[in-house]
Amino acid sequence: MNQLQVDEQFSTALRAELVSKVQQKSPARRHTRLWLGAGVLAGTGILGGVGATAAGLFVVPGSPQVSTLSTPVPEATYQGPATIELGEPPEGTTGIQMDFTCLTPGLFQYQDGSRSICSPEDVGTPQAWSGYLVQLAPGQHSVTFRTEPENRWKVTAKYVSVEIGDWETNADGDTYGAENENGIPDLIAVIATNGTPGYVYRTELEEANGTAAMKTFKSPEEAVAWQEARGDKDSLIPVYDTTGKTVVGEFAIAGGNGSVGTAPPVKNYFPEAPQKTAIPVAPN
Amino acid sequence: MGNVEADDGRLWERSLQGEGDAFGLLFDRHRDRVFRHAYRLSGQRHDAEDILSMAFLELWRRRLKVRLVDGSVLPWLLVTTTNVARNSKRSALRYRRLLDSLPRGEGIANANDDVFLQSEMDRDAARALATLGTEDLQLVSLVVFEEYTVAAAAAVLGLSPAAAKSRVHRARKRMKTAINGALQPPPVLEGDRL
Repeated sequence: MNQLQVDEQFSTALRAELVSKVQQKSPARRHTRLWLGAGVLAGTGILGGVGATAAGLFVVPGSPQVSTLSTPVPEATYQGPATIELGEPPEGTTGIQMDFTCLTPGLFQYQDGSRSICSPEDVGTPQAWSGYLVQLAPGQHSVTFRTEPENRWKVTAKYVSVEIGDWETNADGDTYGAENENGIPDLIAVIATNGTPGYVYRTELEEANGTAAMKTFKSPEEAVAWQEARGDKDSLIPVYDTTGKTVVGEFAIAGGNGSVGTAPPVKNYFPEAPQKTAIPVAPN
Repeated sequence: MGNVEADDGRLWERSLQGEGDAFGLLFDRHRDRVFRHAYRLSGQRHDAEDILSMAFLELWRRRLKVRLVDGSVLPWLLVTTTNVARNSKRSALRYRRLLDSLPRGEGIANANDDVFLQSEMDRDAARALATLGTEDLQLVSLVVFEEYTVAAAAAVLGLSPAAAKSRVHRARKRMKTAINGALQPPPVLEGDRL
């Protein structure tokens, strides 16, 4: 009996169409040097605060206070997949902080499934840098990155202990600071499009990024309709100083499909690893 | 099959994050079964290809609504295939331009007698299936042809297992009557020979 088969030519074309349709919707196609899995907002400049605080630029209440516990492993260049031994973690270690830089375009993936995508335009610019703070897994004493054999990258890493600070409260009684494990303050630390650090109201952010709308959706269709109605438009909301009254800039929330189409195909080099757990940090 | 099916969840999750390749793998995995089901319902190769396309396009368009059953998207796809086939003219409007733009291989339709005879028989079977109501057809597709448990089919269709069971029983009887009444000798159903 003839085994009925789909016309291969038709099927190949259909498959390509489906793959491209899915990729068009991809949050990963947004210009991303920060780690996917850290949430959509990571790419838009919300401050984790580590680097900025360390650099003395801007003290963000509630941000993780990172103490270095070990000498960083010297920055070295690698090609293809590699594992870097860090030695035994010192007493009190809670995490590993890494500075990762891609030297060629490509997809670079860390062992917890997070990844950094470098476009040709990123290489040699600050966009090639990714800061990375991960929790120490029991027994962990190395970090592994995987990528295609021809891709080059460099990294340095050190053991740290991380303590979450407290938020501050302004004259109006609103809390301000960084989002952290304890939740979200009333005013969230961000970097405005003009480069000025400041705060956005959580309510305004949630209104603009769809979190507020999401709570009102009664069905998935409403969510899709909202997404479609919003389209690719960027939303702008005001950035304030700690008083929550003086505007110091604007904060942009990228619309639906993102804008950069040069990212390489997304691939999972760690099929066994769970997605996410990375905490993005601001550049030093 | 169990392990392979279990991986759907992860591929689906990655698809939702915009990884086209993951969606491509789902397509590779389920393409043939969806196509055969579409063919079973339409009895025409080109129609079945269109229905296959529409089922996968709908899978993506309605992604927030998709329910995985036992970690697999296949039951949802098969139900959607049934609905699309039922409604293929109207559904096709949404995707017409895309469907027309997809290239097709040459010289496959009715190229030899075996295929011709088979396609005649399949058309008869498709007509017999067309006598079932939509819900019964969905159930029969999942339980009779695709060998899902009644419980799994009930889950994807939002029915109670007891209601699904009695519906399957009634639908089987109806289908037998339709096939036996309409055809001499009864055709070999796709589900029997695959």
